[in-house]
Amino acid sequence: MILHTINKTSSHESLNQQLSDTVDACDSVILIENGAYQAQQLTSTPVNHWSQTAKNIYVLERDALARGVSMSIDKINYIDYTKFVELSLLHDKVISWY
Amino acid sequence: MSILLVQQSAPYGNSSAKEALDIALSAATFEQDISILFTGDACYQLMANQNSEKIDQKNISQMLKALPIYGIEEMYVDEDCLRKRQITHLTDSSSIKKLSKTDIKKMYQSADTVIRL
Repeated sequence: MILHTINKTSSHESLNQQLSDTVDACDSVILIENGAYQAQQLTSTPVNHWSQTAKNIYVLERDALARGVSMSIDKINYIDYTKFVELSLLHDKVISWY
Repeated sequence: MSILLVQQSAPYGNSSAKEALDIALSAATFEQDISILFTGDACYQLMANQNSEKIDQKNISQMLKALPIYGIEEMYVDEDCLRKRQITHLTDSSSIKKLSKTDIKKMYQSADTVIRL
């Protein structure tokens, strides 16, 4: 059970591809910094995209708010730093994709 | 306690490759179980015939060759990334194992700690 963080937009294709190749069905992904923009595109991702595999997808609330990213996207859980810390401890390890 | 160090930068443009080496050597000094995976542009670190003295830098591939002396035997490269970059001649290819996407996913899953840089 891995917690993945990604801080880049979807235009970083190779990074997103590597994440897709790595994510397992019991893993979760947190969108942070510019990664928050990806929250808006998750409705139209291809079959083996990480967002289709991951168990839960989170976005850091303040990063989304700062960028004007919608706060009511279906698949997304909006979290604060406290929850981020909690999730880090609940998973076996954290992998940063940047 | 196993550490997977994932490298993704080409050798001489920035300090990333050297910093990764420092991490690997420090970990080995403290007898940690560390493996190194070369992916993306980090494959360029493994190219044969590097002459980095021409740009006044230490030869990364020579330093990588020395890692087994420090107890770092586990070195891997993403075979897809090699193919995409048309890298056919590796330095000291005997000690670096080529891995498929599936193998790499397993490595990420089984390591206790993953460091990407």
